[in-house]
Amino acid sequence: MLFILFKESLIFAWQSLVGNKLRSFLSLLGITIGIFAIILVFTIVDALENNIKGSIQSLGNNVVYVQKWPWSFGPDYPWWKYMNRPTPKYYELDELQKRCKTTEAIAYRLGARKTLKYRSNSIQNAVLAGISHEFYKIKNFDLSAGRYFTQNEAEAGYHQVIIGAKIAEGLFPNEDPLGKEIRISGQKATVIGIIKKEGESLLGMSFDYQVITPFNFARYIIDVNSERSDPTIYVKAKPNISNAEMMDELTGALRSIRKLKPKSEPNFALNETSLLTKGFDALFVVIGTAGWIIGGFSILVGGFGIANIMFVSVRERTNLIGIQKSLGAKNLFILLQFLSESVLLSTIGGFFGLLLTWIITALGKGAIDMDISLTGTNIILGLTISVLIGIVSGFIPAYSASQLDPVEAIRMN
Amino acid sequence: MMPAVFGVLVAANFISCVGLWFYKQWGVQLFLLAFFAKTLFYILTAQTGAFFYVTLSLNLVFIGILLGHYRKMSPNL
Repeated sequence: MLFILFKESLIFAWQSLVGNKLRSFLSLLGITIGIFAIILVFTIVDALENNIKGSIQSLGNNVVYVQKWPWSFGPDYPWWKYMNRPTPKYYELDELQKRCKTTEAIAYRLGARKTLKYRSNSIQNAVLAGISHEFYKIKNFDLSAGRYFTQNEAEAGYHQVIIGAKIAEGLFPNEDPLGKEIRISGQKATVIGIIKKEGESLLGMSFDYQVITPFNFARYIIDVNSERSDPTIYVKAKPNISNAEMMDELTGALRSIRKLKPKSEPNFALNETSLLTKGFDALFVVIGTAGWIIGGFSILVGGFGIANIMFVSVRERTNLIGIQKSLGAKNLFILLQFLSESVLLSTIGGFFGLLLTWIITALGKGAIDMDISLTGTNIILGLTISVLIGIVSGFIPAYSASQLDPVEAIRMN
Repeated sequence: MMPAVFGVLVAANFISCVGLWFYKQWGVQLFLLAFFAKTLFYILTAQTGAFFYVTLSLNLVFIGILLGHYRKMSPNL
């Protein structure tokens, strides 16, 4: 019975919407813009979150970074305390390898931006990373061709490089890079491997634009004493060892290597990826809230538009309501008739908002090399919001229509 | 999906207010339903801070007043 009532209400609602095309279009425009704003913000936030979380994931969960500066997102960052700290040195890597028992792998890395040349092709500002041999055990990257450095090549500082996919495309557009010699700041180096394409990373950690080379070769090109080369020691814990346990051992070992007095503060920072995750989680909560506020106001305006148009609709069809009621139509039927009209109106508005979002994301995907797409969750969220706005904004007009006295309603002009 | 569920509860609360405005029994019934659902939602999502207890006690007082008027309200739609 209720289903038949609902079906008839929908038919009435559809006839009313089709009968007033311009009015219907103007009323659903507000909802379209509101849904578009909210869902677009959520889609972008989802895409950014996935990209950044993927980048953080690639850093490894059980890896600790020994650096000069601690990672922090707080407003009260006491930078003056860290200014005079020394940067991690390559010899400290050897010492840590000798002293630490909880670590699976320890690697050293420093980097700088350099110009790469091969014949007439050149790439400016490519990231050159000088690494120690165990780097591959810590950072996740696959090679699409060639091989990794051997222990001997890494320690002896052979003039060899492994290049990222974009570097390979830029320097060797029509030939196989393996075995070719490139020039980095005047030094020749042979390409022995190509890293598999990874895509864009918002944190700038993609290997696509990097060239990795043994540290003992990179030290001739990069200033190892410069802080700008961001010297870092990467330490990976053994499978059943927690980060906290490993960090305790690392702290003791580093204090001993740097000959720090028992009461003096450590002059190094042990950074974990969980610090980054927490910082970004807080950031995404703020962006999500901003999205709700911005889109919420648009939807509020759209909701008022629908309520207004529904009042006009009730006013216009008062005679009809009177006739329907005098022929036996129940209050619930009149209520459902107007309520389904407003729900239908706002759902169509929401659908167009989602369609607009889909078009924008499809265009955006082509423009930037990032996975940005309208998810099923966001579609359901958009449609649910539309239906709810339709119910909330249409309920009062629909209810007032259902309460009309049939005799007075028929008499009204 | 939390915002969607919360939206449904807010909409139910709003509609119940319309019913209460027109002095209808279904307004009280819907208000009670929305109140219990919202309380359950807050408990399940662990949003039980000081604000939760303040609104809970205010709502309970309001429900007491509503139940006092329930018999006098119209049972029709």
